[in-house]
Amino acid sequence: MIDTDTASRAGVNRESPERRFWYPYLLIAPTMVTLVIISLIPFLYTVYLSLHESKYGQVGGFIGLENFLVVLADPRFWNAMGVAIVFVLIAVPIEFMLGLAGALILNAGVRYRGTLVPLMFIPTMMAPIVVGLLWKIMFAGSWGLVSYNLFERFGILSGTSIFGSRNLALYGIILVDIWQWTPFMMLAFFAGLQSLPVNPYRAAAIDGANPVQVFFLITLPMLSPLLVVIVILRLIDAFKIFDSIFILTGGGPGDATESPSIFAYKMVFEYWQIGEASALAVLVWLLFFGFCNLFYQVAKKRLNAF
Amino acid sequence: MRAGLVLEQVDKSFAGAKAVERLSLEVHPGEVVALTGPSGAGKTTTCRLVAGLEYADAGNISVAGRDVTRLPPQQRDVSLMFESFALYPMMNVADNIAFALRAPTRAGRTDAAAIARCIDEVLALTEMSDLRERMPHELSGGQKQRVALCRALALEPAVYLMDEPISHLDAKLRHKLRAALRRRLVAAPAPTLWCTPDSMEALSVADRVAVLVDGRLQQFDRPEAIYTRPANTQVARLVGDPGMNLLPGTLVRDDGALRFRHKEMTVDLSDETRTRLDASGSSGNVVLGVRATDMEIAEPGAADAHRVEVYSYEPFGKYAILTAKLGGDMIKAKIFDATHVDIGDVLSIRLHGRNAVVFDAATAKAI
Repeated sequence: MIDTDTASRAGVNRESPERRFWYPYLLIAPTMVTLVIISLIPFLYTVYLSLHESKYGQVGGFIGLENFLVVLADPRFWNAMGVAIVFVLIAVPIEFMLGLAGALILNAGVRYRGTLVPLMFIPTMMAPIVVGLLWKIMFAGSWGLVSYNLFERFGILSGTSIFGSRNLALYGIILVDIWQWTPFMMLAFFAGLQSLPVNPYRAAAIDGANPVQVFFLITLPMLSPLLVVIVILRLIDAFKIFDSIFILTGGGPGDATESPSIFAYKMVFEYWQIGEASALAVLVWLLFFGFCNLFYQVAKKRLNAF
Repeated sequence: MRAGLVLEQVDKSFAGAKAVERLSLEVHPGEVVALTGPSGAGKTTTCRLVAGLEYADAGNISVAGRDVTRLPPQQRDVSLMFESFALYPMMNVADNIAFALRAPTRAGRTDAAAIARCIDEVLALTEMSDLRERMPHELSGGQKQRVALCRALALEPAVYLMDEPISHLDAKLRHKLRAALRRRLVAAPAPTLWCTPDSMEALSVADRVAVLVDGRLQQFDRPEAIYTRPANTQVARLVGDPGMNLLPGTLVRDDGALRFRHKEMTVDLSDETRTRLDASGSSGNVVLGVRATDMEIAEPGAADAHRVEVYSYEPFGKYAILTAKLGGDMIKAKIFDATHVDIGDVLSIRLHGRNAVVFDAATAKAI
């Protein structure tokens, strides 16, 4: 235990050495217990299931990596990965850029900012299911607000929803995701901008830097740790997208919008291939674990983040 | 328009509180003017007004013959050494210094080799050469201040603004840099405004000293004049180490001689003082300003000495500062003969009137 706080030292010193030893563990116990129950145990059980033959709720014998091989040989798995990668690589950069631009505008000073900020946060605060239903209606065939005004009037996609098109459904979902998550990026970046020290900006003004230089040489480097954290969070979250796809397309048409989470869901609750589904979950986890580690290392070296 | 830095009747208030009031100053090219005063006097505000980080409520500011009153900082061509350093946290020492040299407003004036030379030179001056690759968060307070100083010195601006440039350095380096900085700034064609709460630093570095109290200019003169002839009691109290002793009393004339009387104590004043007082025709209640150096410990019972009770005694080696109660007043004397004195001792102190300054008790101004 690191004794930095004099108050806690005074309080704890009077206790026996054993109590002093357990005290910090006691403090983090509620969090740890919760995490173990809702996160670690299910995760370990998933790993266990992925290594066993399990179908229709019955766990059979140990079969090694058999489930993994089945999943890796399944073209639907590769399709799901492709869907997720396209989705993440389009949605997150757009959310990032729109969010950062919006944050810079907010930070530069906008009238009624205090009223505007909570309003803009509404899409992010809404339950993804509600967001999905909302957009389903907006894009509904010939009468949805968006589909009628954009598509019906100009004769595109007449009569059908964007979510009914094999080629466009994923972009529709990307649009919904951007709508929902750009405000989150914007507000996170805005908060970051607000917390930056003001003096480097004063110095830059006196040193004669122009606005572009100020942004790239002062703002961006000072903000980069936050940017990296938010982007990682968003990448992870976007990769495992489930709710809005489930509501809007259910993974269809065909498998055009079948993300790994949707695919895993179908494997479990439609085909009851629990072993393979567990193997898929573990594979996705491994992939992301590797990716985030790489990202973290690069960010640490290149950006001085963390 | 005049060359150098000119402030004319500049006003600035923050939320109704006057920070700077009708301030007029002129700093000639190549001249160092020190702006001194207690904290909150308006020194930093003055710097920021000249730099363009604040805009004056009224009055005019011109730099090198150009009215800059309404210009943004980028267009003023000033070099400001921030009291808070304001280093760029994500750049190393060398890049911090180079930043302004690479700015578009100075583009073309300096190439990469010249920038490198310039960085080497200022780092050497401040004894920072081995720290050029360090990041600001790896530096101590004094080192950060030196980087800020380097950054300001690396430029060749129209005006240098130094806001407490050496206050956080250790005494040895401060002494060295005080002289080195003055040499450098005097050699530069631009005027320098040097802010410091340390009046002795102000006297030592400046060609002229401006004393600011509560946003108002009290006196603007050569250092010697500020020291020997303070314009009012505030300047007298502020300038010097320790400040001038101020004793209330009355003037008495007899046999053509002029004396200061304070209770049972009398001090003979110089003929020069008498001539000046005669010319002004003032009399009555005055305040006498006596430097701590114009006092000495006298042998007990000397006729021209006064009994004091020692309040504190601080030996500094070569001299000692003696604080003592004289009647109801506290006086500070700088004693050069090494005698040890204890708190509570009763001594005789002789006051010399030869350098004394007489202030009007009502207006607090020097007569």
